[in-house]
Amino acid sequence: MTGMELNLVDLAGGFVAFFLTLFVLSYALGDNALFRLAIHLFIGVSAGFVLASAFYSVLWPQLLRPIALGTIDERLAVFIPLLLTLLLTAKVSPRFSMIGSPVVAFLVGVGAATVVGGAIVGTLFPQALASMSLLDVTATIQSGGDIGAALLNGALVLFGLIATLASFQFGTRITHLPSIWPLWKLVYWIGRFFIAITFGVIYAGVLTASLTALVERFQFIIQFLRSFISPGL
Amino acid sequence: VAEIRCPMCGKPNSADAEVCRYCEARIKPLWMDSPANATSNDEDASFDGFDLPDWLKANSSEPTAKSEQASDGTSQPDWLRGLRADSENSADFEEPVVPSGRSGDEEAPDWLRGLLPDTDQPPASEVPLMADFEPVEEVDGDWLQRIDAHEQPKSAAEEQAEELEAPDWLSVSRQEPLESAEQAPEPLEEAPKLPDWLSKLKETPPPEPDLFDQNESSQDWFADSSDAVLSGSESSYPAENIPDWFAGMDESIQPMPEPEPVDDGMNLPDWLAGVISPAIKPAISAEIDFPETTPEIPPAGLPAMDLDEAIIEVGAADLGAGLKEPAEKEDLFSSDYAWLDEMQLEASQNQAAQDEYATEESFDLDESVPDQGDALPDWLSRVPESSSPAAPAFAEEGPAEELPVAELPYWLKAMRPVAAYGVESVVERTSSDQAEKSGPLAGLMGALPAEPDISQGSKPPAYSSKLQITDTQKVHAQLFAELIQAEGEPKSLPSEPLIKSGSLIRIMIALILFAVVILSSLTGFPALSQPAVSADILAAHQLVAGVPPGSRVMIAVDYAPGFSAEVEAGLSALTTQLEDQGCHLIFVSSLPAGPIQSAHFVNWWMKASPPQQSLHWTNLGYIPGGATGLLAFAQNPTGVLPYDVNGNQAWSDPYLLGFRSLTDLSILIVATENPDTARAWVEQVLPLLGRTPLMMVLSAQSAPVIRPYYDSYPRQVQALMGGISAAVEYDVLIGQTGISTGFWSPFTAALSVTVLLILIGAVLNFGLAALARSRSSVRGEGKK
Repeated sequence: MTGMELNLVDLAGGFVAFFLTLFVLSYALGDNALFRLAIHLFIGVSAGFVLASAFYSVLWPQLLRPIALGTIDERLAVFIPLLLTLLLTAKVSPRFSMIGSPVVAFLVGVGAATVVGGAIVGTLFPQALASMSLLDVTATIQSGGDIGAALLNGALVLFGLIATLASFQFGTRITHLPSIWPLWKLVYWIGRFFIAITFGVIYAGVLTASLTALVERFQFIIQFLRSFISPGL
Repeated sequence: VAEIRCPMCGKPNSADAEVCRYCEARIKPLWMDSPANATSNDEDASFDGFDLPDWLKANSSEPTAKSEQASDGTSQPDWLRGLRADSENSADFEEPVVPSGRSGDEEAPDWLRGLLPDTDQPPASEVPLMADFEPVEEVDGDWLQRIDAHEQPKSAAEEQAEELEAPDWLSVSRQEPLESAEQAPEPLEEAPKLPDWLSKLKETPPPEPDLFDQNESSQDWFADSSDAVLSGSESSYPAENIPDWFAGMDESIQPMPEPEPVDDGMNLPDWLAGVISPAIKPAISAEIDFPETTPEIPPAGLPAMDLDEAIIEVGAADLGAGLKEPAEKEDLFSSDYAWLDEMQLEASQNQAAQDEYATEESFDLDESVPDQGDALPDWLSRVPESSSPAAPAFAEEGPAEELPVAELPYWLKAMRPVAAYGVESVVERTSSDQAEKSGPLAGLMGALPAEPDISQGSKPPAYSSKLQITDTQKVHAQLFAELIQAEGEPKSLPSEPLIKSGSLIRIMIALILFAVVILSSLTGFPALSQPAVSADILAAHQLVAGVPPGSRVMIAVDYAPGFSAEVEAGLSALTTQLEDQGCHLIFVSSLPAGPIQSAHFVNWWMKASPPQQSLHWTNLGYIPGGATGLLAFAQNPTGVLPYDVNGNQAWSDPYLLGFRSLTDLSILIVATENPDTARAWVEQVLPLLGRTPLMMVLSAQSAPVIRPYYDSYPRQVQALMGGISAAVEYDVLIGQTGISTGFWSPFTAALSVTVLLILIGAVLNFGLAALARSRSSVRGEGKK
């Protein structure tokens, strides 16, 4: 590619990006045809790109290429995946969909086992240990942290955890322990307070990410317009 | 002084009284004084209004003349003379037409035909007939008492009848219940003084206790005896079988010529046909159905009547049991009909389904003929009430008077079908309004009831089909109809305003944000200072800084294009540092768009970086399979992604030689905006990383979710960068001005305005809510 061709491609890409950005921002005025045009265009391009990416990233290098250009071992290695793939394509027809069910069952089973195993090993146990270690003074001393702050942090996290779990109780009124009920209600409201803070933080992150995207788009528009007004900038 | 009883109050009055002195009811009907009958004698006067038939006249005059010619007055017994005298003056002779059982007419009524099926046979004996009579104890007692108390002079025939003690054997025979008809009748051993001929007859009971047979036998003996007497021939009975009382009378009885049978198709009995006048024959034949089986009554004055008289007297006593005063001789002639009525009564009782009926106040025929509704017209029972002064003697004290007239209760009348009631009313009115103009029924009202089917002259009452509802119900029905009609009418939707309040607010907020961002981007206002570097960014910088030069660094590009600005701002700073350290970057992605996103980032970074910098990188492409693919990639990266996006052997690159697993990496950097993707990398890949640190470059929205993996002890994620602020901090830390620095001012301005708008909105919402509550409270107070 020459520099002139690149500039034309960038210019065309810039115009397309500019107008599509305006189409999307037009949603601030309400649902309109420009917004829908941009959305449909994005969906179509994404689907086509995913198909091309899947072919060039998965089917060709891992299935077709070993069969076509691979050795005997590579061809034998892809025989079972090829068979499963053919069976899975039977799901397209309602008459022969039962043929692809074992493949789907295999995929679901393997995926569920993977997710559950990873959640236990990668999240549940480590997070449980981390929650317990917040009040480990020895570990805090060994790490050189402030013991008081660590204990306060640990106590706050523990109380927040208990309160949050307590707020998810859908139980009935504790009649056999009437004296505990006011305390239980207090813990319930504290838990709801922690949950509200968590949702607020998540909303702030979403708002921050959206504002960042908005700023980036407007800076692109400004930069694109500046390139026409003062190409030297 | 002869007395007659008032038909209304029943008290005795003088015979010549026209009006009851007690109740002032007319005793003698007005029509008795008609000119046509004014010249008639006393005998005819009692039958005025009837156009007295000839047979009755003959019955009263001709036999008398004949008897006077045949014998002197002393030859007749006293009772017979009294009978004749009484019969002439008797007002009870209300029905002179006595049906004959020997007429032989096949068109006789059913009730009478059932009573005597074979009417041609003459009566043989009276005993079997009377044996079928159902005993009536009260009546028997009355008439017995009355007979005992009767102190009037008795005739010879009466004395002989008493000698027979007919009441005894008759009562014995009557005591046989009707049900005994199925059994053999017991011999009447308790009748000690029965006549021989009667005893003989009793010795041979009928083979079957059939009423008809008994009637037949009774007719036989009666016919034999009467024929023998009337014809003067030799009696079929032996002399020893003739009762004494009867034999004694034989000499004093003049044989009487048997009347010629008149059979002109009028169904009249022979004896009646002989005496009836031709003038009234049509009327009688047209209006009267004569029974067939009634035994023939011989003419008065014949000795053959003695036995009948005795029986008739008994019957009369039975039927007249309700009388307070004993029956007198003047009622004897009417008693002849009494035993006939009793026979009819018995016959009617033998019928299977006998309906109870309410009798009128008439005495004899109404009571004795129960099935009068079909066979016997009403005039038979009404004649004595309306025409005969002596009728009250039977009418007021009859058994019918003991039975109260049935009256339907009001609630039962309400249940009667309206149509039937209307028809009945029409029939009753029609039948009661018609008066007979000629014949023996002349002057009688409603004598012959017409059939309902032919007498219904008027239309049935018409009933309105219109609903009868109240005004309130009408109003409710109208409201209900309007409600239903309103449901079917389409309602126009309210017109939507061109600009809604929600849209307006959204547009205003958008315009404000757009203006702030544009102004901030153009002017650089507000010129905010760079943020302070946090400990997290410092730790991340230390981690990256610790990467050995020329080592392999893997970057997972798992963010969507929409979050590229935020994520790439931090990733750009890291790439700059890693490029400074001469690391080889390996790009992978678990998203289909990851490979092209990686290429876009590298191109963009190379454009934004100084031209002297060069970047060594490999794009391995897409890792299919999600979490499973990540696990497989972590276990065997070279086997899962053997080729790069260009189709070349990825692991044959000089920078990647000797690479077997992820543990050969210096650091693994995961750039994503999706917390699930970040968690998948942590859960599936982290356990297989070994000592290789894991660093997260996240969007601001996913950083709080992944933060626990970073804050945990020991840390699962060694470094964490979240949002544009972390990128700016990292840029500050490494001492360069990246793309994140140009975002900072507009981002801060827009974020500040957004926070301000949120606060303004919260305040307005709170104020409006308070205003609404105050208004609602004011309305509530106003209502109170």
